[in-house]
Amino acid sequence: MAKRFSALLQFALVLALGYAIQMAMDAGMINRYYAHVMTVMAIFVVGAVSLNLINGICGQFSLGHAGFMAVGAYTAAIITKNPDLILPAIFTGNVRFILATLLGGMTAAFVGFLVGLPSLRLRGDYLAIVTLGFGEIIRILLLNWDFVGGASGYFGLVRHTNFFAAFLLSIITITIIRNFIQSSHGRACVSIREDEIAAETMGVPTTRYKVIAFVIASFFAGTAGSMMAHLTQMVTPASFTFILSIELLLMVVLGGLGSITGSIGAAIFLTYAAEALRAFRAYRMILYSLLLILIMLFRPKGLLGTQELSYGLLKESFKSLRTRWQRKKNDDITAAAE
Amino acid sequence: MAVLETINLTIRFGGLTAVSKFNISLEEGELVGLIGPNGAGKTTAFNMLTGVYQPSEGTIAFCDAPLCSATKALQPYQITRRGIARTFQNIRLFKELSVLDNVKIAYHQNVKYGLLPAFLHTGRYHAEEVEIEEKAIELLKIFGLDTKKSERAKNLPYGEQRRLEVARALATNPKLLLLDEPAAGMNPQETQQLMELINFIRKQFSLTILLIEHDMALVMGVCERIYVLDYGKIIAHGTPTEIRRNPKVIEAYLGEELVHA
Amino acid sequence: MKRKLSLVLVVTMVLSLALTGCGGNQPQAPAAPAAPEEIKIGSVFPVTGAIATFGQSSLNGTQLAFEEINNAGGVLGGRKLVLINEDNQSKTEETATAFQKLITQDEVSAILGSVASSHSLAGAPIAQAAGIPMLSPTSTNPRVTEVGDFIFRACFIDPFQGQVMAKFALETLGVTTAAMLVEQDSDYSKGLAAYFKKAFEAGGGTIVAEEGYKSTDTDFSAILTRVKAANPAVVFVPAYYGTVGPILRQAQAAEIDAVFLGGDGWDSDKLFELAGDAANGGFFSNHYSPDAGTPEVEAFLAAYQAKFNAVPDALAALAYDAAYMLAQAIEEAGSVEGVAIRDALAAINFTGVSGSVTFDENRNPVKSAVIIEIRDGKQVYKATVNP
Repeated sequence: MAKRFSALLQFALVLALGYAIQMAMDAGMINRYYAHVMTVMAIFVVGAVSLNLINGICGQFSLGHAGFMAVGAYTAAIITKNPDLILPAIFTGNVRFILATLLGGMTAAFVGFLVGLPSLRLRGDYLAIVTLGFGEIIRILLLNWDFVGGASGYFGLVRHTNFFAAFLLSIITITIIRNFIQSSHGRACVSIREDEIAAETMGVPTTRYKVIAFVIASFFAGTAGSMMAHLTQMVTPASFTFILSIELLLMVVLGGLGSITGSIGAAIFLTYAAEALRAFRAYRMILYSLLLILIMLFRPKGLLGTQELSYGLLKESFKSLRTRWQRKKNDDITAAAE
Repeated sequence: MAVLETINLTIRFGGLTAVSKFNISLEEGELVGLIGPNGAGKTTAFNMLTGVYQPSEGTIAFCDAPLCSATKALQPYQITRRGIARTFQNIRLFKELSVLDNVKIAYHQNVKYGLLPAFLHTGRYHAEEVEIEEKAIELLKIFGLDTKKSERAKNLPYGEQRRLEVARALATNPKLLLLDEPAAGMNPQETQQLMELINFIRKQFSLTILLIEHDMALVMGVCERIYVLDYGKIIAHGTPTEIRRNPKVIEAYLGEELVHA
Repeated sequence: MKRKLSLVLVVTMVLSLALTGCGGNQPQAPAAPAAPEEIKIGSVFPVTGAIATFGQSSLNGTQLAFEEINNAGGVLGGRKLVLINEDNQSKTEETATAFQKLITQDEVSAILGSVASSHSLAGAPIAQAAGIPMLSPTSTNPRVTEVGDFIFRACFIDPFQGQVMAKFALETLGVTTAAMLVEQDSDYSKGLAAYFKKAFEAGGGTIVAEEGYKSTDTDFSAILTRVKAANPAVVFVPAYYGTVGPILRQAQAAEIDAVFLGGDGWDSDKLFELAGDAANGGFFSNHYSPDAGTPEVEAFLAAYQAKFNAVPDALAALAYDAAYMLAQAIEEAGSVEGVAIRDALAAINFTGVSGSVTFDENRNPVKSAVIIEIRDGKQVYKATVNP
């Protein structure tokens, strides 16, 4: 009971922090550019953490995350742009946006189910190819759908997304996915990553859990798509190419496959780096790439591996650093003595 | 009542018949050995019994209910849920996970709470998780692993990894336990301890056990009955004494020349 | 296995980024003189990514114009213009971020850009909300300027080209029958065709055949047979050079002796490779022609060639015009305030490389188009058509 209370308190405190930041933005204490970048960061956190559920936690390899973001973005955009389509006209403004985001997520989840059911029987690289193909199919369908503007995109959306909305979504995503991983259902997913045959033999219906992880991740990808659409106030098929999937994948790989905190850190860092390197103009892409190569060379498992960044981990690393330092000091002393 | 009964179980990989007309029958509470030279098809037989492979022909009945027939084949996880658990010849632990989590995963089939409590960590989630944790620790105590519950499985010494695998299999609450060379790579002392442990859990959990083993002394020492497999066929079966004297078995194990010598 | 794959992906990604990154090797901001009076102008042109070449041309044109303006003493009594370009990597989301940065971080007075309509559409609401005038040199989609009263463009919109070609066919070529080949899955093609038809019929002409095809088609013999049967004097093919090439070649094979007309989608050297001598005798509308012979064009050509050692394309010309147009608006406004610049732009009367410009009530330019004839595998200036 006390545990749950403290969890709720923690959640409320974090939300209050997000709200305070939003108020500072509204008051002009944080300028609009920073506000925009922070909002984008929060959206990428949702994308990266949800992709980590498939690629890191469940050990599958999806390259179609941009496709699910597209499904969510377009579904939500259609709902908010047409006041009496799909949802009755009594829902307006931000309420309509929230419902549209949920429906966007649910549509993405449903599509994730349809794609996942047959393809998650495949393993490893095959799944990557199927999901990659799926992402492209979605994009090409949207490209040829006149109702949403085809190639030129679907625009004139109201700017519903602010920092707090994106922040709230990211906190909800992180909380739900973390809670899921700590549950027996989440452990079932992790066991698939560790050893699929052993998992099956321990009574875990592996295909079912792969689909569940895929559907949950698709849901959050869809909501992230809706957030992005209502931030840029438009959606185009060109926003959801395979490159976006790769960027999300990079965040997951960089942070560490299986590490939620790693994904959060990497999403924030890479978005920040892209902005910080803006000053280098045309060369920033090269610097960005070099940075990634270096990290991949020296931390091939990602910055955090499968571990989570926590107080305990920090304490342990500090301890090991200290023992190393002490050992070195002792060596120096013995060397000096000799 | 037979706990496990197979009739004419056969599997072919392309043109190769790996196991042919495999007929065994286990009575409740028995400890039966399955021996044979390398490549005889012992592990393949295990894989059919646990649903990893689908037999080309034949049927498997577990407690008089079919697990596998011409019309229907259960998935491995369904078979586990019916009450057959196994270990693997080349240890297949969840290496990156803690010892405790390895066992907890095996309790997954008993979990009643759905996804929503998992997302929200409701009271139901906490109640069941506490129960699972208590059960898992209790089980680890029996195997002397409770002090290492937070250790990653891959960091355990070899013998303890083998023990953990048995513990994990037991957590699925099986009626029948299939052990695939549990003593492989162990020294005689460790093997001895393992055999005592197997005897103990067999009584404690009222298990029926089917054991694949290379170590002849061990098999002869603990098993009540033995099946001998060679080139995918059962060439003999009987008590350890009978098997020891069976010329076919001696031939299979020691080669023809020695028999005639 | 999986890690290997992810590494492979990282490497491909990195390589592709590095390669595209090499495209934009021009340092953008001219070394800023320390004068306190300089006026910051933002631009959002993609110098990396899918349409980097378009962005680079636009950036070249803008830089040239700013250099000339500054060398001639700047605006508002000696204040220099400083260009801050933000690369949007040819991406929609990046465009929004770039606009946000230019407006809040750099506090620019106005923004030039972006190139593609979808990018401009992502930036326009931000500029509109902040009250910063935005002038896109090349975004032709009608909806761009519909975002709000701070959004302008320097190029004519798609439907206008249809009208121009209809007028040219009726008045210059003196014909009264026309056929149209319309790409069914392209807004551009459908827009041009609809307005061509309207203007052609209003001027007393008759559309004798209207045939549709898909952008992925490669065999046009069936629709060309029907066009031949209708015996038109001209055939209007509003599409990009990729499909126009095969159509012209197959039309020649089908012995259709009508004159072929098109829009700015024909503007590529690739057209001659694809169509061969079948392209000769065709006419298309474009934003500007290096052969137009006006003093503005001559001066622009010489300056551009001296600076970049290349013949400027339409994108460079339009960006060059947009930069001058903005400078003139600031001069006439007598201020760098957003509202003042907006009002000055709306009332502007500007003459540049691509002709003279005024804005209509939707902030779309009313300007002339040039007609280019294809003769001996070369683009030759034919006429200027005023609206």
